[in-house]
Amino acid sequence: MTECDRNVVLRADDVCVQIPTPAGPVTPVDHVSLELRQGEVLGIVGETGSGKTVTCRSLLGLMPSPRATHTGTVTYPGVVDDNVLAVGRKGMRRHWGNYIAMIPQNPMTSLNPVHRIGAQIEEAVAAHSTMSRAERRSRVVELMSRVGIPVPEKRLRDFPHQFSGGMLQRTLIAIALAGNPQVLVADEPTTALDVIIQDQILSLLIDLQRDLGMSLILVSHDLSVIAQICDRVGVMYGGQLVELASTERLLRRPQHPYTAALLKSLPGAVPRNEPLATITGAPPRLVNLPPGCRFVPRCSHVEPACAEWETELIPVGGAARGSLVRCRRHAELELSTPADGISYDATPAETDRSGPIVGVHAG
Amino acid sequence: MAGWHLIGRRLVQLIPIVVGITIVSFVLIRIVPGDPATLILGNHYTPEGAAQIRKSLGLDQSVIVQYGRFLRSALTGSFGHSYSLDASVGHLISRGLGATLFLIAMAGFFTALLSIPIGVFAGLHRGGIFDQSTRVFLLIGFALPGFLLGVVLILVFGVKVPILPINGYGTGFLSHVRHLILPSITLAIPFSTVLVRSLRSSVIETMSADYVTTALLKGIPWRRVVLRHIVRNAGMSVVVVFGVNLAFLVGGTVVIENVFSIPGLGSLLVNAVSTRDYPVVQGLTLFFALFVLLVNLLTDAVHIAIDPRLAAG
Ligand SMILES: Nc1ncnc2c1ncn2[C@@H]1O[C@H](COP(=O)(O)OP(=O)(O)OP(=O)(O)O)[C@@H](O)[C@H]1O
Ligand code: SF4
Ligand SMILES: [Mg+2]
Repeated sequence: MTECDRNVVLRADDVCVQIPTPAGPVTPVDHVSLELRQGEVLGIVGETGSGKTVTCRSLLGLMPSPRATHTGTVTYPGVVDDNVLAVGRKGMRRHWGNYIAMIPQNPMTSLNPVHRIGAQIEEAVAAHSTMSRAERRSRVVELMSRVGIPVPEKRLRDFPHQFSGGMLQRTLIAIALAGNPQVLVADEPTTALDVIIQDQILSLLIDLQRDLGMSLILVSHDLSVIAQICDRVGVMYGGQLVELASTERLLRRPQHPYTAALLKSLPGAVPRNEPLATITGAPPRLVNLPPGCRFVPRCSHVEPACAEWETELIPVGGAARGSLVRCRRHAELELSTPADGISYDATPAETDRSGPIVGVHAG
Repeated sequence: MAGWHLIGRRLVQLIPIVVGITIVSFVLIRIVPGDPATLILGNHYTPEGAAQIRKSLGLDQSVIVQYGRFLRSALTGSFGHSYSLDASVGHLISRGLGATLFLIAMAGFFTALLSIPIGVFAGLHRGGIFDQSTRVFLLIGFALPGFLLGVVLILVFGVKVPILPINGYGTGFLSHVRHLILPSITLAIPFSTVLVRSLRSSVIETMSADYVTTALLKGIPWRRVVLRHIVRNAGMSVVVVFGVNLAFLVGGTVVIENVFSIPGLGSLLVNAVSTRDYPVVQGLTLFFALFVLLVNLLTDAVHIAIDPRLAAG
């Protein structure tokens, strides 16, 4: 079987999410299409406010506000063939936790402060099973030790405020695993944690993904993390996917000027004595967006026609076949890549990731 | 535990407030025009008789001495002897206390019965038809003075469709309940508006909490998400609002007991003020102050008991 034939476990097709606000409609997800295949790790990278969280939640059928509107479809082929975005809370209930689960961005606020850790995991265990109380308890202990919480028999009586950030995130991973889901969406699972803990949690996630054969969507604003772990990468900018490619192709032959700029700003992309590249200008605010390419104000390859261009994800030919890119000039551009500066083999511990996160802040 | 330590500290802080309240009431009732001796004698007034009564009541002594005597009687629990009724103030309070507590309890019960479902439902379905119509209810309940509402209820359920008693307290538990339905609803409606408001906004706020998303995505029934994660948590802040306002309810009972002629502490207070029955007024004010304080402490205790973060400090 070739890579492309592998089963698709989640498909998003032209998803848009819009939120009405007093300042005008906000569009945090703008024509996002992607496929997640059985057993793969798909990375999504993008700077703050690029719509990663809203995108992730829409993949589970959640809207950012009751007044948000959506178009496009999300399906779990063979499991939910109706549009997940339209199925509703009631219909999605038996798939949440059971087929698809999410690990949130902020572990500190994602557990209920008034219930004990053990009870909160047990609730997830009980959601899709008919186990007896004793069986549930032992499953809770098993889950807790699987995610690396020491002395689980004792700590399950703790309340969330007695746990560290890393331990809370482990708890949330245990909750996500409770129903043996096939798809895991991890929304920046380590951003809120200390650097040392970040590596532990990432290794744990990858470990679990391989052991349990899950498909994983891993969101990060740190391209070097993504590069080490993921099979494929989607780059988000201003609510859109601007490039989607295998990790190797993305790193060797970036097709979008934004991706190329991201790569150049990675630590290790340039010799030590030169300063890291930064992208000048600020990312777009997603209110009242004009038509045309989102990257126009910051692109070094911009042409007047870019501002009128109705953007679409274009399949790339030639050496980078298989990639998708949202740039009308990608074929003519010869984007330079940092010379073999980045390792992308999946061994998180080997590469030094203590450098600054991708430097794409307003310069 | 640190949370309970906090209650101890609150208690100590509140002592000067209680003492302050007794001083203010002590002085105020003496500033109000009208002399107890004159009122007691009525048509038999003679300056000599009045002077003698004042002397026997100790009113000829300095205010400081009088206050000292009041404090001493308060410590023994008798609060002194009433001028106009032949009983100790302590006895009068214990006689009226039952009706007042019964009234407050029923008002609290109706308030919870009314505001919990309305507040939760309006919050869960924010902007819906129910939520919109709740606003009208809130506006009416909030704008209407308590006694006016009482009069309206008396006219409707006591006069037009006479199904409920409109005055007195009755004898026996069931009769008490029947007699207190209208007065306690009169108290509960304005009280509910406060609670519905705070519960509704608390529910709305809690609904967007990250832990609610976590709970929802476990795949548990929505009912369970609502009860264990939304209402449970939204309720924590509303308990405080409930406690603070329950204490205010004591003030409300004074008016409502008179509207419905209930022989409780409120009626006792109004009578005592009009006859310038100083010991009764003083004793009752101190008692009300202690009651409010007790309700506040109870509220704190409940809050600590239901929020594990507070118990641990
Ligand atoms: N409920 C909402 N109402 C209005 N705007 C919203 C809402 N939720 C998200 N947004 C807007 O949508 C945009 C995308 O938000 P999102 O949280 O998806 O970004 P993100 O890529 O996850 O960022 P971060 O890296 O900070 O987590 C932001 O500009 C945000 O202001
Ligand atoms: S379409 Fe134009 S502005 Fe947009 S990324 Fe390509 S070259 Fe730059
Ligand atoms: Mg986010």
